Amino acid sequence: MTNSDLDRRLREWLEPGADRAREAVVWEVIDHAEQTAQRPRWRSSVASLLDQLVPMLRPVAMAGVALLAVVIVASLATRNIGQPDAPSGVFAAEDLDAILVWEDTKPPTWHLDNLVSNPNAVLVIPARSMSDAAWISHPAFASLVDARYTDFTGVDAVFMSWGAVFADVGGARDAYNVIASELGGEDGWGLGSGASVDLGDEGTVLTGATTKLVGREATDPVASRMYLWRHGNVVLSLGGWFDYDAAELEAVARAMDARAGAISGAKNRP
Amino acid sequence: MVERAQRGDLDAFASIAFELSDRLMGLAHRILRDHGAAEEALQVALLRIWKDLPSLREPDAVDAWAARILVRACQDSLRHTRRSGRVLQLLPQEGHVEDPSAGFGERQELERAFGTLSADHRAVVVLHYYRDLSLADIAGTLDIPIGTVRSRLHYARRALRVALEAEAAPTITEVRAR
Repeated sequence: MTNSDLDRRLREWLEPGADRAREAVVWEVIDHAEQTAQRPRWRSSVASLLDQLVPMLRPVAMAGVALLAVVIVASLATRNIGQPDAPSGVFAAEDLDAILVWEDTKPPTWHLDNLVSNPNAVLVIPARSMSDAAWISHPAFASLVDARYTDFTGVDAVFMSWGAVFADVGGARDAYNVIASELGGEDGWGLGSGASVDLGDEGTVLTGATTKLVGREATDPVASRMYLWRHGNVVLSLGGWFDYDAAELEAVARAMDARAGAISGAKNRP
Repeated sequence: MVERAQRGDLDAFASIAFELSDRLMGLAHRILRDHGAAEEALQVALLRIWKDLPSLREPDAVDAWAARILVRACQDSLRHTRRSGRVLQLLPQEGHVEDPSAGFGERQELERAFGTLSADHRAVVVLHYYRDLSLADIAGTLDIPIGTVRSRLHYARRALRVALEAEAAPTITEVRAR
């Protein structure tokens, strides 16, 4: 079958079908709309702002790619590969897909909006206190292997899960410390010092109001809770904003951690 | 009109809803392949459009924005259908008379293959073959990269081609009878 045969048959097959909506169906919606408040612009636009965040950062991230390449090359050139004090990581890039929140692991009320798999675009998502280029070239991220990000719209909240694999545990530890400072610091997300949480090898949960949810420009404060933890050579984060359900958010973070633990356990098994 | 509806004017929204509804119904029906499910998805989408209208930044882009919301409603509908194990009716629906001898098996194979595709893949197929949109226009409508459109279309076409070729292949009985 030629391509044009296939195209013709698909067009013919799709042609029959409804082309008009019954008026009653539309009136029912209009009646319902009368009882339904519109979402205020500031709230309903958060999801779309999150959508736009990554594309907006892309050009800057692209500019940072060259810089990152230089840093990685320099880092590889000076690294003593195979030394006993530099244990290699258990997690590989493909493990992130199994750890992060996704269609089959999200709560039913969350709607998956975006998956980002460009590691540099993902890496700069937490950056607030410095430019994307400076963030990407930060020595703490020199051993980045890969990263993933997903975001969701809930009933009256937005959520994101984030994960980055580093070449070794030491690299992940450095990255964890820098990101924790960024989430807590006044020039970052401004969420304070956070509380220790028993996730992974080290973890913290930061709760408060941030004015930097959608970028470096301050906006109205938004209620936030962000979990950040490190499991071996992977750094993971889960955040909820606006009217998130704290218990649900914690359960999702623990489920992410359990998936990471299962992967780590399976790989360490003799 | 859109700007009035964004400020909560229900009459303005009613005009927009009627203007959009036929186009959205056409899309929903072809993505979901079920009249009732398409009407439900249309209603869900129209109500989401009303609720989220204040966030629409470019009123001129309301068509593409609405199509995007409809595709999401179709995704939700398919997810629900798959979870509940409901069996969809096959097209054609009311008011359409088919010649029973003309390619019934082919249509069935296409329905079956189309039924295995995700809502995202179905949306790309429908926008391309039914709406005749270019890949760039589909990318703009669904707000996804053009590379993603290309790969979804490639995957969907491959699945549908296999279905058509399987239908065209002679059965064992036919081969033995030769």
